[in-house]
Amino acid sequence: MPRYDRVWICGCDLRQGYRVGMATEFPLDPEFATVVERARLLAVEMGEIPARAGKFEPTIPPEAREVIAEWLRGGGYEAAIALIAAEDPDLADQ
Amino acid sequence: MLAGTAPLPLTRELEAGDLYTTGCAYYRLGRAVTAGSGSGSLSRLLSALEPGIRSQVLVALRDLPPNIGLIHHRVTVPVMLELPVRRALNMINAETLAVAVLIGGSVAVTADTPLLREGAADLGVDYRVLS
Repeated sequence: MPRYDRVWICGCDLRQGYRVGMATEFPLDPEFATVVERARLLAVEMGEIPARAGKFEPTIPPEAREVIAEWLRGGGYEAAIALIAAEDPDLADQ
Repeated sequence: MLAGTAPLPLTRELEAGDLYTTGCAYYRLGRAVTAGSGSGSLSRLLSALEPGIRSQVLVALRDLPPNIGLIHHRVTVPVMLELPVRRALNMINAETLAVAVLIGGSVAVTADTPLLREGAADLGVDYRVLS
């Protein structure tokens, strides 16, 4: 395992203008931290950080919501995932 | 979340622009929604609805709302390749952890996944199982 130092991955410049999630500090290997910083800069340049904020209104009709809720409660989602994962291990819960 | 049945705290995070998914998870959801017509599948259940409503549901479930962040593989793959975790991860879990590290966020899942949980611990990423 690499040596772990405490490294802030949310530099001041990168944090301007967006909110970070719950955890703001990770114990990262310095080489890995460099990879992360480079990727974060690219994500900011591409406009993918931050995600867009705004009011969210589900577009699913009310009469369909109960169908979906029942599907979730009845294990339909898990069954579908198991089927998909059997075909494609990259989509499996490990 | 897309059906409007998610817990309020998650909806608040969504509206604040703090919620991200991954390409793999998005693709997996799409496959789960549309896959086949076998027992228990959503498409079979939805077939009882009017065609117009059914179509509306499928479009809503396939189209990711702009509030939900999705980071390009151009950004995530280099991080996925270097994740310093002890055990090998498949693509969906590697992308999940890479995104969590990139945004300084926590991982929230509906089903506990030991390898993902252990990988998150290796990285010091907060890991939550939603009930």
